[in-house]
Amino acid sequence: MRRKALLLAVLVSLVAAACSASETTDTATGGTPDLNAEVRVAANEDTWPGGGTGAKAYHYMYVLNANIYEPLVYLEADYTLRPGLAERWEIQPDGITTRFFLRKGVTFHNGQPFSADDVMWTWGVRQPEGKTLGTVANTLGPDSVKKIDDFTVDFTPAQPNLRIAEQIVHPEGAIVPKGTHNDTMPVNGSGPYKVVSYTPTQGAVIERNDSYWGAKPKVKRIVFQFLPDPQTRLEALRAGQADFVIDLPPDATRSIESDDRFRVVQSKPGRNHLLYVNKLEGRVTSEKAVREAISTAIDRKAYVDVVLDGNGEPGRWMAPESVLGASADTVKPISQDLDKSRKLLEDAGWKAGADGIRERDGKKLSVRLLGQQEVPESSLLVIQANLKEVGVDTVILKTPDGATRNSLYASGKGDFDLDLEPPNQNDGNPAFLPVLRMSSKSATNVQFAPNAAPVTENGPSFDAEVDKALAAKTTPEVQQAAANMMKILSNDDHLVIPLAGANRIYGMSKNVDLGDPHPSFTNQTWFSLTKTSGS
Amino acid sequence: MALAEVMATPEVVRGGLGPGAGRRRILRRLLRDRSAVAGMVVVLAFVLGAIAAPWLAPQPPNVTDFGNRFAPPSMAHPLGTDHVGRDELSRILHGARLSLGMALSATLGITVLGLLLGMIAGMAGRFVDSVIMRVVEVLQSLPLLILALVVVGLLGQGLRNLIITIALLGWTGYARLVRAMTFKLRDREFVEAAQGMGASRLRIMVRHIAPNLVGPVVVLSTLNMGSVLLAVSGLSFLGFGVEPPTAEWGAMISEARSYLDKAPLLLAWPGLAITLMVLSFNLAGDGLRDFLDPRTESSRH
Amino acid sequence: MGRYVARRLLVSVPTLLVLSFCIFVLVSAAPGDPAEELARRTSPAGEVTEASLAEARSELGLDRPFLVQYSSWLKGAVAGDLGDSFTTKTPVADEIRQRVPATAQLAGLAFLLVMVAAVPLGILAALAHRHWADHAMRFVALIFASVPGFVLAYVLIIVFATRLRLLPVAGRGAFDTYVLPAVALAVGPVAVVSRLLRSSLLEVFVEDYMRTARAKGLGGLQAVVRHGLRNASIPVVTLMGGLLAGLLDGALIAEVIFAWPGLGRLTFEAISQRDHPMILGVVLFAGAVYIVMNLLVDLSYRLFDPRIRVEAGGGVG
Repeated sequence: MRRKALLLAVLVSLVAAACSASETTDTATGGTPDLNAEVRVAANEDTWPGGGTGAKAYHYMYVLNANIYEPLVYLEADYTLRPGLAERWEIQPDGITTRFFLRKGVTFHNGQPFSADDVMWTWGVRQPEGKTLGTVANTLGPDSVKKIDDFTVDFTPAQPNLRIAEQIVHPEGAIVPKGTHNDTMPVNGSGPYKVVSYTPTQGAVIERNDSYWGAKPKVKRIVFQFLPDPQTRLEALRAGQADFVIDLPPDATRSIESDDRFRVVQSKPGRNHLLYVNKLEGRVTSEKAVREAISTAIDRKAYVDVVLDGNGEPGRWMAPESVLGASADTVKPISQDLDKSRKLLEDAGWKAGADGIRERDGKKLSVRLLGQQEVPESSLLVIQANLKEVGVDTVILKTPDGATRNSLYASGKGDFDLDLEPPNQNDGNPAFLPVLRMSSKSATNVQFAPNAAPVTENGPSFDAEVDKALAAKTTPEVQQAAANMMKILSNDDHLVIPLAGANRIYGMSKNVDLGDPHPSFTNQTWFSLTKTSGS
Repeated sequence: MALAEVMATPEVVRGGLGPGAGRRRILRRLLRDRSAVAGMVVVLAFVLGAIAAPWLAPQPPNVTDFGNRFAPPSMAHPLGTDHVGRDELSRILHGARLSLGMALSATLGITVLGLLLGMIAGMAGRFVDSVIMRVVEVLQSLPLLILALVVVGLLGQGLRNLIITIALLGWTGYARLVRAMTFKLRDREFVEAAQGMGASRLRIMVRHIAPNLVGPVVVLSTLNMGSVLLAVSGLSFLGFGVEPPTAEWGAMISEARSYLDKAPLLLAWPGLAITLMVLSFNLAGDGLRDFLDPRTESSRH
Repeated sequence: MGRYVARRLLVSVPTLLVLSFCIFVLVSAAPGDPAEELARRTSPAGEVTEASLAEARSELGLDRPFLVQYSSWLKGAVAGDLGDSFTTKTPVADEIRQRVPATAQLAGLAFLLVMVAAVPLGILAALAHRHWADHAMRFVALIFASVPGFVLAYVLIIVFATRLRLLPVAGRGAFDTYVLPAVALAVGPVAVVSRLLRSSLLEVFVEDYMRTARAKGLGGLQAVVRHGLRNASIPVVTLMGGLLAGLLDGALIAEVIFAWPGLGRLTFEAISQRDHPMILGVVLFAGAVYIVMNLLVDLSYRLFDPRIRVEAGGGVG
């Protein structure tokens, strides 16, 4: 009896302990932008320390970077250039040098006035330390940057490159005050926001720089919280723990949109899902017919629906359409044509086998498809299903981490045929991606070997377009060259197979807005971020 | 892994099947424990489902249907379809095949390693014993999942590496148990008698010691199946498991995370499947242990 | 006693040595080149050239023979210097020190939860032996011991954070951020510990001194607390080492889901980035923590059961 009473007592106390409630409040919407607002942002993984605080890298967190530090030139959401710390720039009569005229009266957050010395420090002095922006590393040496006077700087590349102004828009090229060393986290930039606090892997707080030279931000404070898992970020928005979420999962977009507490803002496609084709000798994909068959087998519409839940568009270009301007039409869309695909394989001697997989001389037509960490599993499954329809077997290699992927990719020994990547256009140079990944002069080209002989017949004309792009004096000229490159790669040689263009998706409370979502996350600025006062 | 070992060990060490336990009596006693029976029935159902998956499943597990994504449960798809239109039931069934196969092979590896090394440690004399026990101590003084993650992460993901890693890291509890029991049995009369009759150590191990270890080891293995399943799914969840499109429960959960919002059931089904399978192994093991342990038995009546 | 501790600590030295060597071999043989990772990371466009690769290799000391690498690492480790992280360039020891509080607080809180919940539940179940409540609790406990931690974590997030809005979703901050990860971590162990306590209490109940105590007229709870619990705690204390180990393992997954900046995430990141010194450091650190914890657990036997004399030999449990 006594035991039963005790049992009851313990049970009751347990229940009582479990029942504790708390109140939640909802915020109302409406009103004008609150200049004293604080916006809580759930951001992706903290990449700031990604480059380390050591000798070679700093200010890596692009988000914060775009707000705290400034490049000489900003890249706008439509991929045009806007003056940053340089008020204007022009090509010099020598046909090589780009001269930058710097903004006067700018001070860094620590009060240090901005001048040509800081540009020299960032771009010149520090070059030997290895602080070189990759996109211009090929052409810019330690002696390439010269101070003309306190507010004039010349960039003279070792070889002709008129794309300098377009290429230094990356936040990595942002100017830090003279004397900033990399062994400590630099906190002083000249940007619209200043660092208040930064806690690695947890979060950061930045605040409006009231002495900013340009239009001042419309919120007082941004509190970043690093939540690496997209689902957790979504839940943080739902739970009212964040006002603003970077990179919503595409599949949650519709339900957030239909919830009247929230709004969704999407950029134009900036990330292009592409298949890079390994054309090294010995691979089945060194055969042009196989490559073309793969390209025409893909249902790009289904890809957008399944992988992006419709938040994007079928792939056509290697980079966002807008970077190509009027030349965009040079690159033709590729539509799914299963009959054509099958015929191409048939004509090349790949005959259907018993299990539906084609074979030739006893060898199965099987491709190895590599998808790195950030590639959604569904995109690999779409490719696999599409290829199966034309009798091509696909082995998926979904690598858990960058290191495994890179070891597969290492010079000339990559044991795979297709690599699915979603590169981001974060450069003002229209030819940025094709040159970076496909030029024989680039160290990261998909042939896995710098200066490897072009395997396809159009290799030489591709390289000619690369030279044209570097020497182009006007934007339409370089756009045409870039479009020609993409045409060679995607329409003629089928070495880069476009799949889809993905939008950047931001979710936010109704009282928060972002006016200019940038297709390139790297170049996103927060000038247009507003929050209306509610409760 | 550590928890299952502790769950099994203390009682089991004391118990053990006596040499003369009547088979029919054991069975009757075991069948009286309803939850143990339920556990065994579910385990059996999973085993049968896994074996018959190709015939039971409405579809092959990897057939996609992009026009029919996230379909709710229906006659054609009793558990609905997933994010690329694959039949969820088919994937769960084939996943059972994989999970069971994986857990069985890992447990088998663990058991063989543990039995062998435990008996050797118990029989072979001080030096060998102390070497084996040092290794046990080293392995037991380590965070297993962290170590497994390091090993799998460095060896490269994949089924085989996963199984090898778990087997290589998980045998220590068995070895300790087997060693302790071997010590005890060594001094029993029937073993001493055999020794007196000049039987070799190997013969004693095989003929006299091993049969007496069967009971406790079966209990430990049954309980351990659950832990192995949890470990495998944990590593899979972190992305160190199988390659897509292979249907594996942990990997399915990991994929379903991205669609938690739209289709929470996609996370629920494999989650339920793992829970149910682990639970039934635990129930079965729990029941087995109880009836093998004379003390709990006596306190029951 | 002192000799026993000294002996145990001495034994742990070769343990750590063997461990470090194994991990070193494993790390060196694994696919993935940290030099290439470094070269790629330090170049924003992700470019790797022959020159930058060679430079990175020499910077990381990977151009030296294997044994030279190991012995120089070992020399440093003995002096408390675990080397510098390949990725952040900061001392590994510092990184670990920064991450320890987060994991320790989480695991500690979970441990506390386990004790606070499991002891009453265990007693309750033992008292309710053969009562329906015992069966119900057994069943619930087994279910909770069977749910994968990551499934439970998502269920908790959806119920308590998203739907009820009672607690934050993730991140580490005020006390309320600790609740969900700690609960997610503690639920499985609560089930196991309460079951263990129940069964050892049941065993103790039939022992002579308990019968005597009850014959003397001590009430159920009094007898349990005064005699039973103390004796029944021995197996639970044995479990402690395994429990803490389980909590650290569980923290690995919980930290990934709850964006918890602890050792688990550090390990995960280190593996992803092929950060050799970091992997070595984390595993060694975890090993050392385990060894110390197991030692403490063994020593605490004395507290609970003076009959056990630890000097008699290391083979407790």
